[in-house]
Amino acid sequence: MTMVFKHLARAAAVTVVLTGSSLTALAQGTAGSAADDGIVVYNAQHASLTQAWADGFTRDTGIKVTLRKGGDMELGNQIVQEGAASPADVFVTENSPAMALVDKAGLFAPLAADVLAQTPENFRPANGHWTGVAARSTVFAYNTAKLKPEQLPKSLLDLADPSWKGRWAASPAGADFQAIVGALLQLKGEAATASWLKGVKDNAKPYKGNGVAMKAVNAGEVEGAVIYHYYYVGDQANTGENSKNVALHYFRNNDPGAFLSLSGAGVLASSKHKAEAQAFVKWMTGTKGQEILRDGNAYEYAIASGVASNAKLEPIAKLQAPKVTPETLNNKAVTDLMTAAGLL
Amino acid sequence: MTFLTIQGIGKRYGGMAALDGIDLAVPAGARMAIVGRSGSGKTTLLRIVAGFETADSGRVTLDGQVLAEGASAVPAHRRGIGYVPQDGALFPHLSVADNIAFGLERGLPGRDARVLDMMDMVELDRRMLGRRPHELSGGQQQRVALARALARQPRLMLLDEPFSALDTGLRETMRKAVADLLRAAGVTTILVTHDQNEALSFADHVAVLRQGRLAQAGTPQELYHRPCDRDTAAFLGDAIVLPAELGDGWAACGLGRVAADTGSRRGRAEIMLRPEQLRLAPASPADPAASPEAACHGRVTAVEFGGAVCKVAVSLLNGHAQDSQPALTVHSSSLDLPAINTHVRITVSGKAHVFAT
Amino acid sequence: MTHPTLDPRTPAFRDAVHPGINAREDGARGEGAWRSPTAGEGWRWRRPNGPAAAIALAALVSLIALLPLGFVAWIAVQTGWDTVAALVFRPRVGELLVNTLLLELATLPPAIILAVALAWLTERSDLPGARLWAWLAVAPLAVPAFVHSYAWITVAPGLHGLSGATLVSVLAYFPFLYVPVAAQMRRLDPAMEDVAASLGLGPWEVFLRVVLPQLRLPICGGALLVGLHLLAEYGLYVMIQFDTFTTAIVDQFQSAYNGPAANMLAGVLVLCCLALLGAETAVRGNERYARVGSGAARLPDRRRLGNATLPALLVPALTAALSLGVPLVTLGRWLLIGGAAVWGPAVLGAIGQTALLALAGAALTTLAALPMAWLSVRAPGRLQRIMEACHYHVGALPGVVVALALVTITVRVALPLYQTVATVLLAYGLLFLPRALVGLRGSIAQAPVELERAAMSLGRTPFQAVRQTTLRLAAPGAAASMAMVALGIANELTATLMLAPNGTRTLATEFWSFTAELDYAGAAPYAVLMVLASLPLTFLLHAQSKRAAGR
Repeated sequence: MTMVFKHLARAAAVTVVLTGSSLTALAQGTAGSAADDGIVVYNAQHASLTQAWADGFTRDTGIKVTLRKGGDMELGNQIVQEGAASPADVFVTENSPAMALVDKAGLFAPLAADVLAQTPENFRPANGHWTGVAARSTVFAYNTAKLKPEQLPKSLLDLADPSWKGRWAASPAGADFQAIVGALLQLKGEAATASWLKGVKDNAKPYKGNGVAMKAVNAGEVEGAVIYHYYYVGDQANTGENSKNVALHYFRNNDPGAFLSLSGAGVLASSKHKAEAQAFVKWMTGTKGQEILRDGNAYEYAIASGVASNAKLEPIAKLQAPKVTPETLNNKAVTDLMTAAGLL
Repeated sequence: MTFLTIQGIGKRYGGMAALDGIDLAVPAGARMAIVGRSGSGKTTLLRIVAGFETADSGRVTLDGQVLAEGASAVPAHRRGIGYVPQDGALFPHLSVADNIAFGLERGLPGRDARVLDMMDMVELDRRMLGRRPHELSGGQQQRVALARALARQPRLMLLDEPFSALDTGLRETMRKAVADLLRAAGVTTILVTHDQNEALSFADHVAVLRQGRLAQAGTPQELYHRPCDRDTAAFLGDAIVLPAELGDGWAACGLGRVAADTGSRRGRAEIMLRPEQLRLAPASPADPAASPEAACHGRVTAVEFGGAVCKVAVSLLNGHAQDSQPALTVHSSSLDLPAINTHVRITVSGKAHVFAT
Repeated sequence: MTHPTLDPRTPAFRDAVHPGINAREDGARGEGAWRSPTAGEGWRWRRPNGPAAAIALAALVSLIALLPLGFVAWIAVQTGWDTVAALVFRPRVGELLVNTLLLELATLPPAIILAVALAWLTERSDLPGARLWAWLAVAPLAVPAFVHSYAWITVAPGLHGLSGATLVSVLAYFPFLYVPVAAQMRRLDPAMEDVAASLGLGPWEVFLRVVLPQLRLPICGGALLVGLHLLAEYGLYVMIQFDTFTTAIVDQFQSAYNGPAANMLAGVLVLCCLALLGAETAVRGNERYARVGSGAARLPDRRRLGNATLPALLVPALTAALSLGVPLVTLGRWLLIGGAAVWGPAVLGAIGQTALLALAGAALTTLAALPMAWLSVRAPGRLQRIMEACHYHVGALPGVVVALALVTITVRVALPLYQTVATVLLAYGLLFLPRALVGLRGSIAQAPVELERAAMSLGRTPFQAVRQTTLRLAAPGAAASMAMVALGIANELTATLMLAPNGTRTLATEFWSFTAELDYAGAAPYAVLMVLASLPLTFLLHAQSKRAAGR
């Protein structure tokens, strides 16, 4: 019977060789190429948007871009854990808190002056460790058959009122909503935020993703949802199938609900391809990168290089967004508060 | 008195006739064995009696009650017929006690006592009551299966090859034990088997099925000694079949003139002898010429030692032998076994059986 | 979506689907069939090479398999009791527990009833087209659970919460019950039902008192498997908007990476899995419902449905319409809407990567299972059983737990392995180890050592004997189990999402990222490819369950 084992082991050896060769093939197909002749981007932005940026960048410069997908905080925390060993060269997010997290860990390399110069100061942190690349506005998307304009909440804080119980939706696990809570925390303090979150837990129906929440509004499952503007604009520009019964309500008046969230981009201090990484950030915030925002189907606000936003969007100036310091948005505090509120 | 009557039962599977016009009567208290080769339809017949299958035509009557007539039938669970299949089919999820009590209604007075009675009846140790079927030997399983069927005091007991899965020695012990037990219980029983020895030793009535037809029915003795045809004869045991010329109470054949039940038949016919009817005695080569009519001589061509009963092949030497007469097989005691190539004298005891037609 | 398709990773499933193998081994343990005296002699003088190496290797694999459990314990100790208590004893965990319990309680009974009804109709009644219906009852396994929910929310956008989760779970997972139950029904000795009828039981009573009790083992095994899937599944419940521990862990992971909150939820989830395993063991007991006796079983009768034929046909027809029709029609619709545009080169890339990952993972997993499989067939003993338990338990753990453990372990103590193909393959290896072990064990058992001896006695050299008997007999089974593992990997989502190296795009992750952006048309090609890749698996499983039943 030992013989059997020996020969099974021989068969196993053949398998090892097979495995080895497929591993080699895999390595060539995935990470290997990125590390050697291109940059790795930890991308928490919508895949299609960053892919368009990456494609344009590669076309112009010949530098390959490999994207790793994930959520803002997932990738942000991941970079912190990876520390100096992170394979990432560039970090791109949907919102600022994850950028603040990585910055606080001291893992960003300062951006070059010519990169920073492309973005107005109000759309990037003062320390210049990262920059905004796009922006999105908080909105209350509501079902036009269920809510009349005069019934709309005046402030985001109103939604914690018991009268809103079961009537609105949010995607609490998502980075978007957590960024909004982060802004609230910065603007109103911990006690107000904690009590508002308690109201969210009681009142809001949790959905997975803003798009899904909007679909629920459209279907009349809830009357409204706190989401970002572009889910609506994008769907309207597409088929309108998920938003035909939906309209957007902007809170304005410097309300926390009028929060304009900055998508960020930064170069990792640990990057071995800093020049290429800086070039990529510069390309995104440059004219061509911003024009992708204007002309593409992302429908986020263009904020840099003087490129105007898509005409379908509510002008930034009319949003009356509150003044938020992006580099101090604290997502750890937000997730702790949300965990305590039972939202996570 | 006929207890179970089977009339004109027919059953087809697709284009194949499994049973074709079976008529059978089983007297009350009888032990009937239905014997046949596999595919003869014996199990199908049993299943029709049990109610597991419906016949296409014919009628089954039990104790005056019509159980099945054509395609309409009393369902099996309302027939009160006990059934023991080949390997017992004990319920593996139940203990021995629960198996035996399975057919007794819950809350029936004396239910536990009845289970104990059954254990005693089938001679099982009461300590086995809590065991699971897989902890029992094959013979014990059969005893439990029998006890389970008997516990309901069935009107009729059907045994479907219940001994075939057992070892040879155990099989005979069980056969005798079951036969005694059923006789004591007075239950009319039908045993289905492919083993002719089992059928002949177990039953007081035997029915031979062949290709869906009833070949012959009768007592074991009748069937063994007076089979209706060559096939039945061969099926029930070794048979020596010879062409013969019939006379008044005798038949002239390769063995000379032997006594036979000729009745009024004369002329050419086939006769049958069982090997044990032939005796061998030592003889010298000169003898045949001396008494050509009275005795028959042969030469031993092969000897097969088989313990108590040995088989001796003998080719006939005298003038009565047909040209192509094959060697006869004769049963012989191991004590006076002739050597190969010796000359023997063959005598016939008892009467030869004359086949009809 | 952790283990989207079929997952015979648990001992229970092994018993249920491969009863033949098991029964043989039970016998072997009792009577020492594999360890005849000659085998014992050979054992002594050949000891140095094979068994020692096999034991060492199997022990190593066992230790690796204990990593995730060890991780949960380690992280709990590291976190400190106060934090653990704060993170575990909070209302949110209570909610998730209630959700989990409700989901299990709402899904299992209807799934069991549906599976038993279908099994009876297809195996024991004269239902027209029974063979077709039998296959259609297995085929939903080819549709990954998250594709089921994708189809359902397309058809019924309002479907969510417990009712939606229950509906889709039953449809996606009932075949895990159907397969073993149908196999057992086929194996049941029909004589038992005859006997029960002769003992005065009507048909309905026969079913309840004789048939059903003997289905306890496959029902327990299948229910355990379904129950574990309910705990481990991610994609299905995200789409259907139902929070379970797995979705909550991923939420935490996305919000705070591998923070203590995520790890503690994982700890509770592991406890849930262990509770389920314990419950199953308690319910099934340690009884053997093997067929008693040795006679050849008659083919079971098929009951005539008569006037009930038409209503009876509705059961499999409706089931097939809901579990296969809905996904296929939806996929077809999205494919039509997407047109040629959705079939970009990215699809081809995903196919390639998925195939490579699946093949490498399957080879590695099979390799890792080999020493244990060999030991458990050829040299069973107490140590072997303990190591086997180590191999099996890891399959009951959700992919999210395994992935979380590997993320933390690699990032903290084995950074060179972090985010490498090796780590994701290790995760696959852990998740699908039982699947490989079941198949390998069965195939090695196909080749009893006596055959080698017979071959040698006929003049073959030991090498020729092994090659011409054992290897030849074991090869098809080993290949089949490799295929099973490969297909499991091809549809794996959670661990792949969390562990895969940069730039990894598998069919499952691509499908997932498209649906996350609500681009259902763009997701359709990936779903279709996953279904097509999994179809052979259902044929295989179907055939295997028939073979297990000895027909």
